Amino acid sequence: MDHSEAVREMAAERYLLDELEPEAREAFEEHVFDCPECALDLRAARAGRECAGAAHHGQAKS
Amino acid sequence: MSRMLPMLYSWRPGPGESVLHFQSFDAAYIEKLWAGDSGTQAHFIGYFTQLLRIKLRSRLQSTHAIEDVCQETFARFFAVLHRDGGLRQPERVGAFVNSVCNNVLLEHYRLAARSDSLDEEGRPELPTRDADALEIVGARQIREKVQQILLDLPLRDRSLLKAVFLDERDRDEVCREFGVDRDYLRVLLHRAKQEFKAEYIRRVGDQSPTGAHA
Repeated sequence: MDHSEAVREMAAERYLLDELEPEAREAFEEHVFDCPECALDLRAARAGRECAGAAHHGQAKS
Repeated sequence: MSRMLPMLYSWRPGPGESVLHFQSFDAAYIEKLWAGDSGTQAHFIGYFTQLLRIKLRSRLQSTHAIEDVCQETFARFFAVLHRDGGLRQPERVGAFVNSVCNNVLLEHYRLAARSDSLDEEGRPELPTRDADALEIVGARQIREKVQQILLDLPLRDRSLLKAVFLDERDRDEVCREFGVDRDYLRVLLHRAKQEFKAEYIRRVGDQSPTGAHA
């Protein structure tokens, strides 16, 4: 998988949604470890997701 | 993975962590890594720890196992780096880390299968918690900003994201309930991601080797 394909296919989003077939998942992982831009996308999306969870739980408690 | 490791490859981000800038993952970077430059090593461990944890969370059941595989991956990477005096393709260092991790993971599965068959109680491992991601975004300001981003979304989109990511409900069921398809969900996540990304870069910084987004 190359960068343009990863962007076009929204691979980071599919990865986080667990929508990639095993082969595609491995291809994306191989790419993301080598591509700082996709790595940033993935890290930010994951952090945002966790942060949203923390914010939601904080809201629920208050 | 049961052997003693020579050192602990640890990484703990802080809210005010400074961003390291490097030219790229190239021969100079690997040379500094090989020479034991502490800044380069900290960057390397921090950068790949995050990626490894994201990768491993979908495959392993416990934080302990994830940390074990991460540590072993780094230990083997540095062993090869020092044994060979560098890497043949410095620009492919990421792919190499991923490949080392895949090998470690396979061994972990084999060991786990063997020990499971010997474990009479068959106790499940503790579920994985996303501690590192929470550490990254632990600053109250980021949480508030993300909360604000979420609150700015239409109620349906907010409820949709909550159902999928916080309640972890079945995606197809959620899509049916909200009258949307999987493409909508993906695009919604993409839009939210762009917002999160802008805030993430502002607060945490871009740790990519080029620092292109910083």
